[in-house]
Amino acid sequence: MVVARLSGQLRKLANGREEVNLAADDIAGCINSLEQEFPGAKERFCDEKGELLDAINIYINGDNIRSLQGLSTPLKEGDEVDFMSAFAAG
Amino acid sequence: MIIDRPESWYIFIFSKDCCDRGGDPGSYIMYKGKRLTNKEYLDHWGKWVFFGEKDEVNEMARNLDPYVESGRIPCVKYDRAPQEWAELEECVMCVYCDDRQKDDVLQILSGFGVKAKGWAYEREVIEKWLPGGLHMERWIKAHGMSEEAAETIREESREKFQRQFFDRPNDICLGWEQ
Repeated sequence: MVVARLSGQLRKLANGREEVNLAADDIAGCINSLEQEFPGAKERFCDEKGELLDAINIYINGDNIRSLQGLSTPLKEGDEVDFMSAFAAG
Repeated sequence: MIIDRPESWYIFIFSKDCCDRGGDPGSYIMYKGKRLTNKEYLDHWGKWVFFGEKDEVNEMARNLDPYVESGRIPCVKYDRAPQEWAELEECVMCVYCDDRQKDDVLQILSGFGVKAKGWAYEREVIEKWLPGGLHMERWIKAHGMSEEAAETIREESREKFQRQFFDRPNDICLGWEQ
C-alpha cells in the first residue's frame, strides 16, 4: 500500500479527504486507483492523451516525478505520493 | 524574525543577522556558512512546499522562526492570503534551503506535523517565470493584459533572469526580488 495525499483544493476530489491508502505499482496506477475510488480525479491530473498536466506536480517522498520516470515511476510499499497544484511552488 | 511588509504579497522569515545586512540581498543563500554562486544556486537551492489555512501558516511561522534565527533554516516565505490568480484556495508556505540540507529541514517540519510536501528547485521556479512558462502565462492571463503589454513583461523577465543568473554563473548569488 502507498499513501496518496491531496493538497489544497485537490482534496475536493476525494470528498475532502487528505490521505487515501491504495495499492499501486507506479504513479499511473496510483492515479487509476484514485479514479476508481473518486471518479473524475484522473482528468484533474492528466490530459486526454494520459500525459501529466503542467498545472499538477506529483511528488514521491518529496521528489518531483518529472525528475524521476514521470507517470511510470515505480512505487514501493509505504511510499508517500503528494499531489499539488504546480502553482504552489511559485 | 518575521518580516511582514504590507506592500508585499509574501511574508518572510529571515534571521536578525540577515536583516541587519539589509543592503546585502541574498546573504541567506548559503550552505555550511559559505555563500552560493549563481551556478550553485541553480544547482542546489530550493524549497519544501506545503499548504495551510491562513491561521495554520501563521502558527507554523511562529514555530519556525527560532530555527531561522539559529541558522538551521535559511529562510521561509508564505502567502498572506491564498493567491487567486493561481486559483489556490489555501496559503502556500515555502521553506528554503540547499538540497544538501533538505532532509534535516524536512525533519524539523515533520516535527511540527507537516505531512504533505514537495521539494522544488529554484531553477524550476525560474523556468516557470520565463516567457511561455506556466506561472508567467497564467499571471498574464489572470491580469487581462494586452498582447503588447504581455510581450513587454515576458521580455523583461527573460532579460532579468539572463542578466542576474545565466550570464554570471560564478558571481555570488543575490537571489531575486519576489
